[in-house]
Amino acid sequence: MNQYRSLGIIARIVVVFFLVAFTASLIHLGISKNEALFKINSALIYPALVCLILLVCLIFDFKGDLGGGKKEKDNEYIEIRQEYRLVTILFLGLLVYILLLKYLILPFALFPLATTVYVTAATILLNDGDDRWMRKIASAALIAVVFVLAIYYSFSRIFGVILP
Amino acid sequence: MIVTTELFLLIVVGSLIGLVMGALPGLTVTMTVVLCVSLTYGWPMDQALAFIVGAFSGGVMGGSISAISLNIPGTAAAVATTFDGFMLKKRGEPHHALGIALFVSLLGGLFGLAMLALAGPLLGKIALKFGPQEYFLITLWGITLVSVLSKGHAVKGLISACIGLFIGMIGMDPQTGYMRFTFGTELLSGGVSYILAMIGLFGMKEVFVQLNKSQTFKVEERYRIRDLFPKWSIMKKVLPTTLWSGPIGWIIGLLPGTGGDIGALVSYGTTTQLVKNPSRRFGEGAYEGVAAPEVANDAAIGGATTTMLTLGIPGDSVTAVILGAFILHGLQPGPLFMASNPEYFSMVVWFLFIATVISYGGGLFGANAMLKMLNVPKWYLIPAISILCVVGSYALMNSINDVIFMLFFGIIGYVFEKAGYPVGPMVLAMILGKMIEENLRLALIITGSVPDLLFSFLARPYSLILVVLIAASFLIQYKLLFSQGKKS
Repeated sequence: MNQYRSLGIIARIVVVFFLVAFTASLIHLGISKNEALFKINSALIYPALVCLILLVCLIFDFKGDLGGGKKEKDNEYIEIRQEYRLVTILFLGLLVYILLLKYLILPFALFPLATTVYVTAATILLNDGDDRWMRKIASAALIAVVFVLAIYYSFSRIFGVILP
Repeated sequence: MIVTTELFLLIVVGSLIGLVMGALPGLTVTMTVVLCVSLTYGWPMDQALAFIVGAFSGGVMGGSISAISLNIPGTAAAVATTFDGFMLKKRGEPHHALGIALFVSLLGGLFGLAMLALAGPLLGKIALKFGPQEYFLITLWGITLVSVLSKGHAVKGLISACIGLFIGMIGMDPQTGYMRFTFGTELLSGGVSYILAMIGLFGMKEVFVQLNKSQTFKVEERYRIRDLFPKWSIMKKVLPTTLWSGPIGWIIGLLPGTGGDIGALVSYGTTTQLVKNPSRRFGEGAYEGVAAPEVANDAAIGGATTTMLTLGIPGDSVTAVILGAFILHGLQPGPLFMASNPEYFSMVVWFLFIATVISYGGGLFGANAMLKMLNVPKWYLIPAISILCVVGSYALMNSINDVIFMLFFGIIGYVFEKAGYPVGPMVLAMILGKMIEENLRLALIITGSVPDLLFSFLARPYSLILVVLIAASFLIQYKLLFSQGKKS
């Protein structure tokens, strides 16, 4: 996992954020409800124990990784950067697509239209096997239309699933 | 009659979906089952179970197809199949490799099911005598073992489990009515659904993980179906292997936190020790080397299902998802399940039996179609799977906010997995957290203090057995990890 050291740092930040946020919320709850944290019949004993266990694990985790792993080689670094770029673009693309579904108001066919655009864009972005752009776009659009139609009819008609 | 035509068809469809998804490298069985669960929210329980169980069984069997054709296991449970399966392909015997893999998978699956049918009611009767201490120890056992077994990152696994416990606590405290960890927002007042976490952490995460593996495969081989029926001369060599591989797979499947992947590796290792005169040297295309892991990984399905149904503890990440699906559809697997819902127990056994047989038939007659599917470029699959995750999470409550939650679980899952923090314990902790909390509080109130609680663990016979089992499992599994590390 050495090549993903930056993600290791982000993961730890997320864990610390969880620990701090939940501990603060727990203390706030204890004060507002006048409940002790570590009392046998307290409603807060279980969350308090989980906080404590997480804190201990985090200390061991930091201790275990002291000194860090070896630094990645240049070619690994370039590959990882490329992967991060793709993940970030796809994540933001999905977020925009979901927010469009939430806030955009169209009289009809919002889901099929937005989904076709998203699937086409994502397929073009990920397709590294074809250098001819027009062909890339045409095949992506065609696949997107077929896929969205299949999803739309199978889910809403056959499975009875409500679509966004 | 337990299995109607409609249910039979749903098992067939589920098995075929599982086979195809299991055969595609990178698309895990867990992800397949999660996506199948998301289709079934509004379905009657029996139909949903038929579909999900079919996908589970098909997914495990499908993993061997790409393991043999590409040397890339379709699922983690098929890793050991690559050792000799791909070598057999290179020797010009891919049909023998796949034929053996499919047939012994059928045998392993049926053995696991027979053991489930026999041992399930027995374990259920024992579990009826459990009190809060035992419930607490069992659930704790499940979470800690899943965490400890997480690819050797025990502390990271426990951290992931603690975060799952926290997320599971968001919302109203069921005993006092306090709003916990909502941070003043209405959005969190109803809690965070573990189904969203499952779709995000197993489905959407996989979409992000697959972005660095965008290569397309070129598989040109084709099988003649009659070649996939194993020859008696080969089966004579392979059948003795099933005698120990089936029990090994089933027993390892029983242990919380382990699954078909570990069962297959242990079975392969045992076979290399026990078979003194293999058909070829192990690692060079021995028939026994294909059979041992394939019997074990399918027998593990029965083992993992036994633990899940009788104790309410999932054996691995797939059974964690299936446990979530049971709860979603109003069933609570666990010690009371066998007493209160015996009809659902036999239903699950029948569904698994049919799914195992159908998956074998699907593997035989659909092998060529699945090989063609391997040629579908990843850039068509990844956007499609991300849309299935969006639709699945929206369909839960018809809320776009749920989709946003799912997406964030997906990106957290990606960051965590790449950083070595396994996501399985997080989901498991979200599912089992409520049970742990309730039983811990109850046990504390009954005993009156922490030392008394600890004493009661040792004074009650079933608790004591569980404490010993927990300690033994830790030791055995650490030993397993240690020996695997030494081997590699």
